[in-house]
Amino acid sequence: MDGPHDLGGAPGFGPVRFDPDEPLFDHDWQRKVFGLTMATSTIGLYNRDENRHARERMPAADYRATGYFEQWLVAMETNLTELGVLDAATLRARVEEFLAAPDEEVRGKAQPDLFELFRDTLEFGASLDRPVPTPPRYAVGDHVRAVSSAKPGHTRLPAYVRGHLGVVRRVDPAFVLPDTNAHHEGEHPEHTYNVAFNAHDLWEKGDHEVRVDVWESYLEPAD
Amino acid sequence: MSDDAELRARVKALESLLVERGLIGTDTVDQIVEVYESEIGPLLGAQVVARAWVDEEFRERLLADATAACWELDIGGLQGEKLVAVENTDTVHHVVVCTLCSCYPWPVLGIPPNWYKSPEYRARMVAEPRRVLAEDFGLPLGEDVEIRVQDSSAEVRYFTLPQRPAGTEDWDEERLAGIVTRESMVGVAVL
Repeated sequence: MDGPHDLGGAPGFGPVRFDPDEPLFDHDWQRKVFGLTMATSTIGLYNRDENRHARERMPAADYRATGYFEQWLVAMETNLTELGVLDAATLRARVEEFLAAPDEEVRGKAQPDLFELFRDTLEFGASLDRPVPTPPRYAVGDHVRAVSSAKPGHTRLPAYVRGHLGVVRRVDPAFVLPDTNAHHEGEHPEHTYNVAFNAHDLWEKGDHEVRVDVWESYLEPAD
Repeated sequence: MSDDAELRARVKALESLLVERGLIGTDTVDQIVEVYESEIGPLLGAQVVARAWVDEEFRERLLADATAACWELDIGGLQGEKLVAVENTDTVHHVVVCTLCSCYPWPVLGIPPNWYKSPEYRARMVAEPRRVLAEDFGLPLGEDVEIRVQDSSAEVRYFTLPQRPAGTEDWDEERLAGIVTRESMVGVAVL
């Protein structure tokens, strides 16, 4: 889908505020959001693509006005309420309780076993590569065109390459297709490719090359 | 933007309901975050780079299959299941970005810094890298240096292998690792 997250080449942005010494988190609530996101995804409440899609569905003005970890918080609230893990009214009531008593801490039981589960995921990863019976459709050096139409749901094809010609530079394993996985429509793994695009073709300026990683169905033969 | 009091309350509300439901414990969040605060970060990537500088065969293995090469140093895992290392030279400079979100090689570099996640970086690095590198990162590259911007848009996670600085020929691996910065492994700096 076209969404506010798809920022490659978007106009109007100023300088990057580079600070080599910034802390990992600016605020403790951001640290909590990171930990909660990792915890809820590790126990399988939602998948990585669903998580991304929940951020991408934010209204554009809200997306731009919120910081990175607030977007993560919105995604958790969206997914956990839509999936029925939490009830939206109950969640809002609890927010009001903490607003009325800001020094109140979260109480309850510890669950040390859960961290062991997370430790396993962290150390061994959660790879989304899957075997597929078909060989890759494209080979290194093939000229390809990124498809031009964007489907309404989640996708990982950046808008700035759609319709443009590129050259396959690397053939990668098949991975779970985000377009279906984000919507609980199955994994449908496809081969993925590293495709090089000429900046001048994309932006009508620039002498650099942009390389984008794409799933097979995001491509069609150049001719 | 919501104010901090509202955000703090929303985060506590979410955590407290998840704890009540038995889905997580009160200790879970801290334990997870502490891993990223104390164990995983760019010091790991620096070890990989230093090894590649002193061991030519390792360098070749790294460029051929970074996932396997990093596992030789016990480096790998979540958000680094498929790693690719791209080498910067006198004539080709690679820089890594994720225009759609914030994909980043966690086991090698830790979790991404604010500037990498910022809309400014995501919007501009693919379109005008020469200018962003020169003006925002203080890295003016000669016209004769070809720039390749890698957008991490699928499952591969990228890092750059920076050039070894002149004058370090007699340094050992540990000392070399000490000069390798996060920025040099994303491609927004040279050493």
